[in-house]
Amino acid sequence: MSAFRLDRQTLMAYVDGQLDAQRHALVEQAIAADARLAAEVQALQQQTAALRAALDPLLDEPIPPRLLQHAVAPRRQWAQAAAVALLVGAGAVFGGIVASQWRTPGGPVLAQGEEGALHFVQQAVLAYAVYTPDPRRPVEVRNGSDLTTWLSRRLDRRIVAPDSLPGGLELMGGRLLPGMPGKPAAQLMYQDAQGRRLTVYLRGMAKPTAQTAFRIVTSGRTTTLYWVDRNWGYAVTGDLPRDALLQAARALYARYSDAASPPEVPAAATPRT
Amino acid sequence: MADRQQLLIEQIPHLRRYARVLTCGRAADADDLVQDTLERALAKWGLWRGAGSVRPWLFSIMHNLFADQCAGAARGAGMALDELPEPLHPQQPAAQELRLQALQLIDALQRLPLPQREVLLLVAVEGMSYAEVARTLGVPQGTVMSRLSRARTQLWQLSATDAAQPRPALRVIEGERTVG
Repeated sequence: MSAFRLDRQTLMAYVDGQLDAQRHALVEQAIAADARLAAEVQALQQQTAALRAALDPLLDEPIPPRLLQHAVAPRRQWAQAAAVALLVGAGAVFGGIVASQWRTPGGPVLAQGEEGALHFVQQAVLAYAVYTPDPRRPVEVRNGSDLTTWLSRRLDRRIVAPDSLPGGLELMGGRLLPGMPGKPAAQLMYQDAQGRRLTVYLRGMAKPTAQTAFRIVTSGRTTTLYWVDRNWGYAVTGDLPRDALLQAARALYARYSDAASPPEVPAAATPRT
Repeated sequence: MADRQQLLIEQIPHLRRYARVLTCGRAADADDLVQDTLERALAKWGLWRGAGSVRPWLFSIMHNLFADQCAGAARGAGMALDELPEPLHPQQPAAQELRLQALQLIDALQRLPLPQREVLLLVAVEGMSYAEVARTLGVPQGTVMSRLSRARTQLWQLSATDAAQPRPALRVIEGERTVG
């Protein structure tokens, strides 16, 4: 307690989580006893929160294709060309989202608090673009080993990976990906008899969201169908007919949900019966 | 290889945000800076040992590149209010008043001296530790703390005086629409 000074820098370090446990406790005692200190700490916390609220939306902006190209390491030329083509294709998805062909009269406008979904889908499509063409190591852990145990432990929730999905899609395996800070993502990969691949991407969302409908984003041949259920986002991506993706998504939804009713189906995809 | 790509791609939004604040919101300059950073990172990939997060390493590359740019041109100084660039406007369709507050804050942030702006962004927004920020910027930890303290105080002063002043009109950016 001797050299402990309760100045602005100490309060700041407290707010920034930079104090050791002992000092942290000392500051907590001090602010509990002094309303002026408590007010200063609160002002610091509010400033941090305001800065994040003001700048976090920048993270959801679409990534320009030229930057995606520069993230691809130079290596065997054919592989690089293929990766760039896929990444640029994926980048184009997001340029096209705002003016999406799925905008229909009467369609719901993106609800407040859903911006994170854009970033989420972007990550899902990029992960698809990067890993599905990999001929040698498309998955990190093959199906049959401790895939779901491993993923469940790393994502801190029960991960279900059905061995097969409608349309003859068989589980190949999965991998762990960086998602959001503190919220890693899982990617599951499926393949059908023709060698067509589908990925399932899921991770915790930055903030809890009420359940959304199934939503569709298309770009060229790749289609993503995604939904958010409370704290978790799910994206099914593939170069497959939309109905095939929808069937796969429904099957997954059923496995992942305790709820009785699935999300609304996009009217343009399949009429509800 | 694919893992390296994925690591870099995941960091692009954070790099773009940092670059946008460094360049006072000039979006094209910011993306040029991100591009240079990615190129430098790939060229020097071997220097990153894979210890800890790749983000502080990328930020330090960007910081050094930007410092080199600034050495010639007098960049990084605060911008006049009416020069606030459009791309930094928050897109969140929050209530108008909240958007206005966010805009004022970004405005004030951009008028902080560059060294203060950097530490504030890295600590408060990116959530890095003081030690990480000190390594990233190549300064002692005590310097990080004093810059941070000055940045916070000055940001309060700037946003307090701004509150009474008229602000530029906001551009409305449409959100995503999909069939629901």
